[in-house]
Amino acid sequence: MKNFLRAIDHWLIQAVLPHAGRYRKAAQRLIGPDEAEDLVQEAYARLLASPNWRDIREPSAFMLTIIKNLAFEKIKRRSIIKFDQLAPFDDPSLTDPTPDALATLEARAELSRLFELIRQLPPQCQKVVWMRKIDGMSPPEIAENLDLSISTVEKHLVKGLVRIALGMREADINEDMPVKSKEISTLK
Amino acid sequence: MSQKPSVFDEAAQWLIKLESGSCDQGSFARWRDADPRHVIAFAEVTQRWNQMDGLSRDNTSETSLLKATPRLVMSKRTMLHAASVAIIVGGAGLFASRAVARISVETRLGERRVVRISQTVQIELNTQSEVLYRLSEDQFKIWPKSGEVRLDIARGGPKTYVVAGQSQTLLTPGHYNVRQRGAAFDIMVLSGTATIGGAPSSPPIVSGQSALLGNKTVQLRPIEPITRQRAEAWRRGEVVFAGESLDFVVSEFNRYLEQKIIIGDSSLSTLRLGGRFTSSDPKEFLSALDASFGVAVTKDSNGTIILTQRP
Repeated sequence: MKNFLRAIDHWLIQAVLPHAGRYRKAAQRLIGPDEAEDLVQEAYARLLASPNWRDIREPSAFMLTIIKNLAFEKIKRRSIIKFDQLAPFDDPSLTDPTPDALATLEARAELSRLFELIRQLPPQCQKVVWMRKIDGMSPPEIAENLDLSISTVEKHLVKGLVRIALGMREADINEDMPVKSKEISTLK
Repeated sequence: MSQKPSVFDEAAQWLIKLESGSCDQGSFARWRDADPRHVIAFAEVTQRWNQMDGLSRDNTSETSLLKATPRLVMSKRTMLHAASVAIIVGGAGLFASRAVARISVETRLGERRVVRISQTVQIELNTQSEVLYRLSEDQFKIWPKSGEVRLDIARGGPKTYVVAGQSQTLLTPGHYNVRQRGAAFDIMVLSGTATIGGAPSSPPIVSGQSALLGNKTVQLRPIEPITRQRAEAWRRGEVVFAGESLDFVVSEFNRYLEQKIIIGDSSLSTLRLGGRFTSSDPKEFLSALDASFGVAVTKDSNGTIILTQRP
């Protein structure tokens, strides 16, 4: 199948990245929006440098711990600490793992966001992405159908994918997961 | 944003090229391993690429993504659904999209996962498996994508359909094991009844039978006792055999192992084996091979396990 993905890549995709919203929000509350993205990337680098990634039981909790530690190190080096922007280090929302009940809700919210981002792509790019991912057509089929070269089709796919990935990152920071208790109880 | 868009650009280019098979994995690996940011960016774009599979044609056909153009151009396939496509005129804010999304569940190599979908539906995924599903008031539909999944359907719930091999198969309350075999899917009816849609002359498949759903064909076979046992055993983390060849046994085991087993001497391939072993750790299986058949077990520098005949 996808043999360019190693075990660690699968682990990142399935166990680490799905909680990226939480990492970004935590970083933002700890050191402010300007440095949050850099902090999250540093945390990923530290995660990847850990020798025994397979033994990590709760990757999201581990990432939040790394983020807290990195933020603490950064703040120590600052001469002025802006208290009003920062969350206290023992804020429980920075370490609580998400209960399973929310996972389904989040998956649906993610798909809605994805849908919205596809909707906002420029027209030709959107058409190509739609045909590839929603209609399941291959790049040669798309090229023939739209009378484009395969390399142009690939360029549109790259452009669309980059915009979507960047858009999902921004949505992580800007949107709050709407969690209504009524919705959780109907998930049983 | 401090992450340069160019790393995402590079990562996306690699993914699109790898997907279409038009680049060599060596150069990709060199780029990826050059910087942890590359690893993360690549994982992120792959994650989004995979997530888009959750938006299928039949759940997005209710709304049109296409912005207003003087002449609406749709792909040939989308045109077949033109009757159900709503055509939007105007700017981005004029309609509310209501994507009824499919939910994706995946397991990694060696992982098993139970998902209780509702009061009447439970699924369990075996190693390296993926399914998409959608639950609504009147229907539960599941699209097996790879690997193996067990379905437990209780009475009193919505109608259940498995979508595989170009058809929808209706399942009555019961227990089923669905497994990918090459390009086809094998639906094993352990209890209950399966009826293949769109094939009115096809008889219902009853308990004790399995149906192999290919692109255009359906093959019905009875379920061998050992096959049924294997379908129950994987849920306990075991593999069981009753006289199958070493070839077969090793390929079953390798589904669960990161360090694969290779048969180094072709003369060993036809050895027949029986027994019950833990799927997560081949240690006891390998010692049994050594003790019972004199098979030598060595590991190469990658950790791959090689079986050879002792002279």
